[in-house]
Amino acid sequence: MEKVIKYIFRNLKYAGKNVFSKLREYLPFFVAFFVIQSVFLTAFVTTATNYQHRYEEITERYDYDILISDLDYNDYIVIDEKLYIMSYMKNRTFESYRVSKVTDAMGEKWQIYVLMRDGHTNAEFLNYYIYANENLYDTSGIEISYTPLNEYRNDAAAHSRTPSILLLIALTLISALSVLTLYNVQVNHDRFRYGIYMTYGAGFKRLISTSVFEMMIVAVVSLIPSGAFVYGISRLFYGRYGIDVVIESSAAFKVILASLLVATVGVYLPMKMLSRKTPMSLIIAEDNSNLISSPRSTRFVTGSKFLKIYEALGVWRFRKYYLKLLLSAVAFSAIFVCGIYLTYMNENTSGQSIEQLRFEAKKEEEAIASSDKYYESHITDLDFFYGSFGEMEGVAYVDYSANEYAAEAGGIILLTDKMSNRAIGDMTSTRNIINPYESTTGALKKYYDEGYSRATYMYKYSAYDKNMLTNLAQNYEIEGDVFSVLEDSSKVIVSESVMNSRKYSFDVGDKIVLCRFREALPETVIEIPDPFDTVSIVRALLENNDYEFTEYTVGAVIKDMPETEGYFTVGLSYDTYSDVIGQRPVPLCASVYLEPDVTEKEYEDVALKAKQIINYYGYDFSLTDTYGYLYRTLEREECSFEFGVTLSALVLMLSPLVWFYSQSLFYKKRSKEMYVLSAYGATHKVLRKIHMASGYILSAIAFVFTAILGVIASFLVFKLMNEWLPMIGFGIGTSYSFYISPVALAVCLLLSAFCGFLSSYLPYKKMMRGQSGKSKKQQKKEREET
Amino acid sequence: MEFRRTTIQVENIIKQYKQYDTTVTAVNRASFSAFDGEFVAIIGASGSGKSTLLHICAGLDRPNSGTVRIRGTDITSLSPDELAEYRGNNMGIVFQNHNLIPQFTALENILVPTIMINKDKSAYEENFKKIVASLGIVDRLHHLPSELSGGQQQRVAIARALINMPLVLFADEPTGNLDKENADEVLELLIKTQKLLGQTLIMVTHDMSIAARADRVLKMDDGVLTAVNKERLLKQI
Ligand SMILES: Nc1ncnc2c1ncn2[C@@H]1O[C@H](COP(=O)(O)OP(=O)(O)OP(=O)(O)O)[C@@H](O)[C@H]1O
Ligand SMILES: [Mg+2]
Repeated sequence: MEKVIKYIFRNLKYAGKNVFSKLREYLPFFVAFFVIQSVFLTAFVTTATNYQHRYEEITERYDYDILISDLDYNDYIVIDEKLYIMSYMKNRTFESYRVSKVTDAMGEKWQIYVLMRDGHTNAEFLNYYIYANENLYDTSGIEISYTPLNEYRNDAAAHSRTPSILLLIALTLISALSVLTLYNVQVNHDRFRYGIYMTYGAGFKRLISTSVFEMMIVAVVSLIPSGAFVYGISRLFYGRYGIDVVIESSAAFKVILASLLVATVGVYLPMKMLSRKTPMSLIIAEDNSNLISSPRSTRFVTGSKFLKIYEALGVWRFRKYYLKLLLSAVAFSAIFVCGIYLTYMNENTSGQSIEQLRFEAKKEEEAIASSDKYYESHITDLDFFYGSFGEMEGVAYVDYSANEYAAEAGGIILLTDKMSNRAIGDMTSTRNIINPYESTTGALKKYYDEGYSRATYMYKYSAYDKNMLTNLAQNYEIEGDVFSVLEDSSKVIVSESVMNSRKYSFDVGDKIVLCRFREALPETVIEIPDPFDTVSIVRALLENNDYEFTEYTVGAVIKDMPETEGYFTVGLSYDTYSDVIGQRPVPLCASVYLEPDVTEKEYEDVALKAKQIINYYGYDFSLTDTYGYLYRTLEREECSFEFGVTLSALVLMLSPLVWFYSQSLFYKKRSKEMYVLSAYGATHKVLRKIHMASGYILSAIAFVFTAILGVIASFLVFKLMNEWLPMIGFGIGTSYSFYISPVALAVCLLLSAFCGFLSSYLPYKKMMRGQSGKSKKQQKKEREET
Repeated sequence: MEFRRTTIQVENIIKQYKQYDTTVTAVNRASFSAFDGEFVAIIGASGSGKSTLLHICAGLDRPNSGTVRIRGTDITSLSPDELAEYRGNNMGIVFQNHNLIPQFTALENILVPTIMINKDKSAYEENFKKIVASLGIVDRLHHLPSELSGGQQQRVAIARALINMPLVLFADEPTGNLDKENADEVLELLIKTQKLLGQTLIMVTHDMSIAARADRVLKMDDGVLTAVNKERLLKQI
């Protein structure tokens, strides 16, 4: 033990001396670790802060987990405002409860607010509760709802104190890549020195331990500025919302640990590769000769084009070096583009109005009778409901459209290729449908010939009345006229979004075909090969059933309808809906959507009003608060957009770092070549031209590289988020569209071109300064004196 | 004749450099051996493969075929790490072009081998003082290689090779850059150390008078190694 400490101490001392005596050489690593640690620290600080903030906000609003409402006297659960079950429960699963009595038109009702005890599940409580109250076996009359507090308590992953493991892995990979890149540059530059070390007995262990200790020193020192930086930006971003930044004391320790891991990984590979080489091959690479790619041919160039060709030849001979440089420097630009893309992805899903604050006034299932008459009376209720909210402050609109999934209504839609060109999956070409029954083949074939080569049942029918259509027109980006469906029964409204991203492309005037299930064809057994293979299902359905085909015209297109599920909407008038579905539309619930900038006061007024209405109607409605207001506020205050952009920009900084670090070391070794040229008569002008030429060449190549790598990387991230991660169970339920931020890409392109040129040209400046041994100022001074 | 242990045994070393369509055979089936405390000189024309052979014997380069045994250990079959450790503990090398680390001072360059094998200061201090004094570089220890003359650099390189008192010393023209007087002094030091430590000294040289002082002389001719009759060599001079 003592020996180990002594060993570590000695090595640290040695490494420290090495680092501090050559601060300039280690500067790139300081910068890299500053970036790495800032990124890690931000991850830790933001999750801890968000956690704390969420916790405070939620506990401020909710002091209960479960609300059991609509209990009437017959349920026998409350006696003298005490839970009947109390006496049965030996070890309580709840912390406390509160009972309140509500009196409305229908009589007295009770509500129970339960605060759970830590470590106990909802099911535990409810099982006990229901078991203890035999009368409650029939729970249909009561409403059980869970608060955000409960969700918060149970959804450890979503509201965790530590960043997600996936994020940490990604950050570690990027960080390791940056250290590896820089270290590789350094090792290549210092091959000779390592060759001598190896000559005198240094093996892999020796080489790597020295390096890791050096990197440790760098990491510990850079923790101070990065800590200050992260604290600063967090204060800045969170400060606007008056949120206190939470820094857990373990964060610094974790970041050091991460740094050690990153340093080891980043140093390991270059050193391992180095230690495999023979010392002689390292020693003879004192100049840049190890970077020259074979085969090399000897060329003689003369004349006016000499310089350009001379340099182009040089770039070609060093192509291995330049390729490595480009790949590693541009990689960070690509990561930046991806970072911005991911930032926008998060912005899209959290910022869109999918989960606007919403009250759902649900009709109890049994109250919905199929008889038209019964139903009509309830529509009037909804009208009243709508009227009560229509004029309230903060209310955007009330939605009580009736919906029916096509699959349930036995419907299939035929589309043309043009409309579905954005679609991913869920669509099938009718081209391959072979049907033994003449009649169907005939009809299908006719539409196929007319260009309807796609079919899907992944959509839903929505019935709209005049009020609802007004809502649509006011709240969405619409192409065409939504009211046209009222006047013309052959017109429909379609939406383009699926899973919160635009996947279809419709134009006003397009024709679509709705297939209405008539009957199953005789003597056929539908064999569905794979229940998840929607393509085969559509095909099997079309092959084995008899459909009635009707052509409709698109009267209006909803461009930005938020849709969390995989269904787009086909909107119809009440009459057309009845015609297509074969049943009058039955609105099952109404939702009150609020303005995005609703105030807390307005929110509370609306909530109160909703409660009053619910109480008035008693049995028929129940109220669900989707807590949208709270969540939307919390999400906005997490500042994820600001942090996303800042961190991406930090990673982008690594790109110039690699450019200039690598090139300065490269040209240091090439300086001999320049001096030899000048010894044989090359003037400064000639040397300058050589540097300029390589600057132009590199700048152009870097530009192209950045464009290609940026697009490829973004596409990979798109695939990862959309397909690969869901495959292993992450992030299911949201789907993204491919997007590259033009601004981000432009920044990268300019930066690459800029760095490519400057990193070749600046060494010339440096050399000139070195040659005269005097700075520019001194030269100027001397000139003035003479 | 007294019994002497074989320190180094080289068998059938072949080293070829391939470049596109031409193949240079730098060393062609070279075999020799040297005993404890023996001084073997290798002579030969420029480009005949002397340095290449020396590097292979010292384990700095890998031959295409053949084996190098030092005290019975086949160093060509060791892993890079084992080989490095072996070199650090048992061998000293003086390169033809010195190969001092340019960013280190003379002192740091000399101490590199001790750091590489974690030798304590007490273990090398005495030896260090002796070597530095007899090489006459005491007042140059804090200079960078670029601030030293070619001869001084060479002496620093020799000090670096001797600091760990190696079992075998490989020296590639260690006196090539020195004038006659200095060359003699350095040679005396090398031979004195060799006798003192019972070291095996393998030296490449162009200088016949140095070769004449060796126990045995080998000649490299276009990659082929042959033994030279020392008597005849002496007569030639
Ligand atoms: N890395 C290499 N790649 C290709 N050929 C090489 C390499 N190193 C040496 N050679 C060739 O091997 C041959 C032997 O070289 P070596 O350095 O061993 O000669 P030498 O006898 O030491 O000459 P000198 O007395 O001039 O030092 C030469 O022809 C040289 O061109
Ligand atoms: Mg030689």
